[in-house]
Amino acid sequence: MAYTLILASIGAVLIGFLSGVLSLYFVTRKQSILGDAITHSTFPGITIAFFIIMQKNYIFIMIGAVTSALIAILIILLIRHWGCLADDANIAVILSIFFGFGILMLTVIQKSNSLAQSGLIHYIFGNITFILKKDIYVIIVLSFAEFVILALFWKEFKLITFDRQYAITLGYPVLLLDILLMFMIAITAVIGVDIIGTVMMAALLIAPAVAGRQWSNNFFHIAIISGLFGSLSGLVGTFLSSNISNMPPGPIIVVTLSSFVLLSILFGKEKGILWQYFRFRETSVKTDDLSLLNKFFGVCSDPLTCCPSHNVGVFEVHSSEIEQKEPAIKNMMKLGYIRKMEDNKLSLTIKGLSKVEKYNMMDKLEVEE
Amino acid sequence: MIFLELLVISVISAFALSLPGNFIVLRKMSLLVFGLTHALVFGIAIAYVLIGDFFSPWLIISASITGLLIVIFVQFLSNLEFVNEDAALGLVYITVFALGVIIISKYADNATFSLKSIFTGNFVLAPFDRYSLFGYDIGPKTLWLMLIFLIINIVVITLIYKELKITSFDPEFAQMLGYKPVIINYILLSIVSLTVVGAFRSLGIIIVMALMIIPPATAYLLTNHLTRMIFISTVIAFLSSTIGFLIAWNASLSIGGMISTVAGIIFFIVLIFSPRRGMLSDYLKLRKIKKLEYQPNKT
Repeated sequence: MAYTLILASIGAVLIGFLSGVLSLYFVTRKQSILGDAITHSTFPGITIAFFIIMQKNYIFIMIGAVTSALIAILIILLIRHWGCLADDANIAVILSIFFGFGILMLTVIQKSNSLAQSGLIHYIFGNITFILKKDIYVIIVLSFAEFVILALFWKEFKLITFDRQYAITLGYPVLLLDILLMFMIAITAVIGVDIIGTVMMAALLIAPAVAGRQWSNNFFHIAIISGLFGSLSGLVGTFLSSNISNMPPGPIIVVTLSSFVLLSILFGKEKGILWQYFRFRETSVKTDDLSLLNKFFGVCSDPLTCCPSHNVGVFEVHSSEIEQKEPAIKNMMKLGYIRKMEDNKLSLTIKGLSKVEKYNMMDKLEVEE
Repeated sequence: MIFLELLVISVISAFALSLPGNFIVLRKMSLLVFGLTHALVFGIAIAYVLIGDFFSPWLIISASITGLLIVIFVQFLSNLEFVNEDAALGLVYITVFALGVIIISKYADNATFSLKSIFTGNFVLAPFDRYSLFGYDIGPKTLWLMLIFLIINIVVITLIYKELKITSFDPEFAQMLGYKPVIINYILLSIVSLTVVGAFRSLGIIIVMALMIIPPATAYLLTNHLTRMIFISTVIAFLSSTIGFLIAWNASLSIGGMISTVAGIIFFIVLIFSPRRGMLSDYLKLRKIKKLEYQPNKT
């Protein structure tokens, strides 16, 4: 048990890292559902390959899965190109036709060989007990090849992910690169099928990039972070699934990954909700500061007639406005720019007056520039 | 007798699913429904584990609450910066589905509700749960359930037909006129989730989605008229469910899988040969235009 667990976790870590990096492509281009289409449409290929040879040959099943996934993607892209059906209906239709056909094939296999069919359901949710040493070799070799391809074409992939039009004008073979990427994603989805499962693999092609995006603005850093999230969840998933009886690893990997996403969305450095909230408060106080001071300035445009000691610079502010700009007003009172007079009246201090003049000068300078 | 009952169940299920499917396709919500069907498994699993009965109304309540929460959560997530809508949907549905799978594999993995039956359904088990009235057997529970849902769908859709139509084609105009597209949306989604929960046990989630999306999408390729589209989609649902059922019954194959495959074959035939938007007719039109364009240059 421990031995297969180590094998499975090696596989899960590698697949998690690869799909984490590749998920960036879909998520950045807002095509995440294509990942769902790829992973769902591998299923009929698996069943057909199994039906032909009637045993679990890893490589043969992989070839079948990749073929059917690519056929599905091709049909989706063809219909999209033709434009006769809305994109969402297009994907939903092709996906359900393919998976439905897989379910049909499942019973065809059941009729001819009822014993072998029971194992096929594991390809939907994943399994860690059936993995063999030679399967792991295949996973290692394929993922190494994909790493090499990614490293070689990194610049091109970055370009077609962010700015396809520019890539076309530069003369890159965008269509070929697209096909290469789709092929790599299909291969990753398929080598993950054995451990993670067809349906659950879809999450690995979306979630890592969403989590990684919250932590950085640099494409390379995001790729590394997403990959790490993917492999970490693969590790956690395989270990938990081996400790809980009758529990496929796929769902646990997905739930782990989603909790990473949730944590990233809350605490992420660049885009995290908490971080953004603090930043938003900071900037809103700043802009409110400025607008309040400008308001003061607008009334006492002539600093000579505006004498703070005689309370000339006293302003009546609506109570609603005071509520709205309470943080700014408090902040300015703390800094000593303004004084609170009566209920709704505020007054400038000498310090505030000089500040206003400074803003005034800055405004003028900006205008002159 | 069982043959007839199963045939009627499959036809009624196809009708009940494809009817709201027309509006789903028109409003471009197919992927939302795709996610919803997966995610409803969570609600069904919780209610099934707690109550242990597939025909309890709690199943519908729990699944509807799940569906509602998911739609709200997807909208919340897609409002965030750098999480676009389809990534949010893809993330939420699969997570909730995974939670459902964990619950099932931990507490419910048995003959009537296994992990496999989420996808394949248990169509042949449908006639074994029966209602009886005053000691007389009045038919399978699934049949009655789907019949009730079909009637609910027909009644709700005829009641809000005008609103559905106007919010499907021009939501902004509808908003301006004072219709509430959001409320219509939720009504549509709730009858969809109701029907999905009803059909889930016999058909499994993928076939449910196939029957909901494929017939309307095929009809959409054939016509531009809403009532005609509903009519054609019903005909296609009838054809694919009867033909699929008859083939599957005689060859003893998966009935749901066969129905969706037949629907898929009809879809591909229409996609290629449809006179309006078919690939072949488009290609011929294009060639005609090209020929016309070349002629004046020659002379």
